[in-house]
Amino acid sequence: MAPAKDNVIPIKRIDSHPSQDNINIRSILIEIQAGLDNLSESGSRHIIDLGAIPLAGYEREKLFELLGQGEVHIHMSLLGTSEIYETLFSGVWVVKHRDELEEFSSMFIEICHIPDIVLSQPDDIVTANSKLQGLINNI
Amino acid sequence: MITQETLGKTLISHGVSRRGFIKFCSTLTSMLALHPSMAIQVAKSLEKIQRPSVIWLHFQECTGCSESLTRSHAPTIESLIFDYISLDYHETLLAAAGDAAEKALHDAMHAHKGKYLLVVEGSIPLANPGFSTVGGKSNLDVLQHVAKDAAAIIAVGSCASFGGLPNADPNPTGAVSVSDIIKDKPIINISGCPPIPVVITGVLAHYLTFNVLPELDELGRPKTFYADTIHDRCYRRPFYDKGLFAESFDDEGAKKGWCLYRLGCKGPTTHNACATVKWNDQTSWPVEAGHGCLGCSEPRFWDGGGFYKALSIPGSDVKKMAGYAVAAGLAAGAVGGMANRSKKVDAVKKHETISVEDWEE
Ligand code: SF4
Ligand code: SF4
Repeated sequence: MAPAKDNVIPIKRIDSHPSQDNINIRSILIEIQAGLDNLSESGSRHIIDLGAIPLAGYEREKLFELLGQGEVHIHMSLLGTSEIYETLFSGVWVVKHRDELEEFSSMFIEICHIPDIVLSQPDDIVTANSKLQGLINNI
Repeated sequence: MITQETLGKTLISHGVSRRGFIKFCSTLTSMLALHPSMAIQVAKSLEKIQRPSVIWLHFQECTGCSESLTRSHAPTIESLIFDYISLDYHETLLAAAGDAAEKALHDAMHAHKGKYLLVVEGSIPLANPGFSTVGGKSNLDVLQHVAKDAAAIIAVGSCASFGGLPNADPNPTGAVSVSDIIKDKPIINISGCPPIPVVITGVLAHYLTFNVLPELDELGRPKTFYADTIHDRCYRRPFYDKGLFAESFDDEGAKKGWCLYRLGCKGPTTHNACATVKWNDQTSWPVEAGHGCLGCSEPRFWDGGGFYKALSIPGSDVKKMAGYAVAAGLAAGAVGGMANRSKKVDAVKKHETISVEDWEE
């Protein structure tokens, strides 16, 4: 190995977080599975707030990696951005909200047909209708 | 200025759509550690709640708690909540000075008599009133005067909550906490040195959302954030349970992310939300960065016997430790043996450190 130059601090990368049998990740996967059981049996939705679960950053990344990304991917721009996608497991959605500086503000795993936030909201529909009327009037 | 606008209306009038408002409420619900399904109820409450008046006083402190809050990046949920309260008086953020500042305090107290929230940062010196004064008035006088007509008091930081650093042995100023002085008002302690900004705004948000103060633990801290210990929620806990400990900051154990207990981590006796809420917009927190918890949200943490000394093991944990020791392959009989018990109990009482060898004797 070449000696470090005088003015350069050598950086030695180490794998500081090897497997701890994935205990934390495994328990979340089991909770997701219970949510899927309920969704298919009774249609009830379940939300896991990842901000309330003690996961290290690398564990969170591993969880997302294991769940993967499925067919639907939604991007929203409001109070920052939000990324919503169905995972490789149908009915299991990842919802990531970022603020306007692109910092994560909250993160959820939703076990449902589609996360509520994607649906158009009744009040916004009413506003949209009157805006559209303005458009029709002026065209 | 006192406005009657609700938070919901304020956001919507700033061009935030209903969907945006739901996003805001989902994040707020997460911040308040409520079940995520409550986001819609939170949204409904927030649509009705009007902004409260807040008076913020500084006593013996470093202003680190205000820094913690105001340094959170705008426009986060913290800043939206912080912007929403009517911060009528804050000695370090106030543009006005001298008589104008005094007038702002007087006006806020008068206009919101019996309704304003009083936030206190810092401890109060009782040894000599001259140790800490604002405009020639002692901290004690100011506190008693402003607390009289407050709806509730929020003691922000370990100094206001428990005396903090000024109260550390030998406590030269005779520093005490807010609750040592005020006995007839609801007081909520948001301890930490500094407290996590999300916890400060979370308590304000709880008050905004439900118009009552949150449920408190026996030390007056909101259970939402302080019910669990750092250790209860630490991602390194599986290593503790297996008896896998780092012995120095650069040994193999440290590199493998093992438990920091033997390096002095105070997580087992510290109640705070760092392990889940984390710091700097959920980037990381001390234990994730490789350093043990110092116990900064507990009373007298400065006098706890050294940040790098392994914690004395509470007597009630003896059974648990025996179990953990078995898991770690230690001799169970030795760990559970009574021979060394009195030494352990004594050490716990005196809060002395005992070594792992003591346990193994
Ligand atoms: S690092 Fe500290 S808080 Fe985490 S498991 Fe170990 S002793 Fe407990
Ligand atoms: S990890 Fe411990 S010392 Fe560090 S901020 Fe949290 S409670 Fe305080």
